[in-house]
Amino acid sequence: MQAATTPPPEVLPGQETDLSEAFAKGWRVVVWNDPVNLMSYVVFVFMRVLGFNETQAQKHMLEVHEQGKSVVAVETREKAEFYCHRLQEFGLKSTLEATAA
Amino acid sequence: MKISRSKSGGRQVELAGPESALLRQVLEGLNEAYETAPGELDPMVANLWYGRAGLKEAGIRGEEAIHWIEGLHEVRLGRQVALGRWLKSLPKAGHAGAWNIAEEDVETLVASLNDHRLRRAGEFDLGEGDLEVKAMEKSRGDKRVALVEIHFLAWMIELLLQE
Repeated sequence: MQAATTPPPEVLPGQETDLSEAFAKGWRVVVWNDPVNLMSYVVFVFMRVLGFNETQAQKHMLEVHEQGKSVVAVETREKAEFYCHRLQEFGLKSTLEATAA
Repeated sequence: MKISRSKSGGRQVELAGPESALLRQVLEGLNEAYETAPGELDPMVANLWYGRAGLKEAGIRGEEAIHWIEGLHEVRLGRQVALGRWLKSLPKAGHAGAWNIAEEDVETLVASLNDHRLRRAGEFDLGEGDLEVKAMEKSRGDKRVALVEIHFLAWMIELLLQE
């Protein structure tokens, strides 16, 4: 007996692009240096928000401190927005950048 | 000030009289600032708590940008609920005593104390040089009060994170 086949959903060319963009890890989350946040606090936030271990958190904190910024995540748009917002909730200066930019 | 981990996993903060008075002043000021709508805050403070830098460049404009800022304000309104509890349990102004923070509140307390540091730095447009202890010793008036609060809270945050 032959199984009934369901035709695949019609995907328009534009929709295909939207989907691939949504799932591509094409967004950087950047944390910028500021004079007020304590180094220990930044490490604490990186561990809480980004799930870094202490070594990773220290490395990125020092990048922020010494180079003025650090890319702390490269993610899909949705996840990058989530991380960026969470970092701002803790008072860190964070922005989103497209990796292609 | 001494901070130790309690048996339940929270923190016990032992405060001297002037420390409890200063902390009450901090929490009351913060309570009022959290309640204030982002657009009505001191612009320098709003820039630190609800900054729009980078939103436009990331394509977050119009309604989306408003939603972004509202989300940041909602988080601070959530912290305000905890602030109310802490103000009730804090020793009376000027009285020495122990102040207990539940384990689930420690992260919120640290973030709130940091918010106050940002707020005070924003109000006086303080930069790196201003935040050195020597600069505090030379400062006068309201700026000196702000710097004392900033340094006191830095010490408290360090102790909370060490435990």
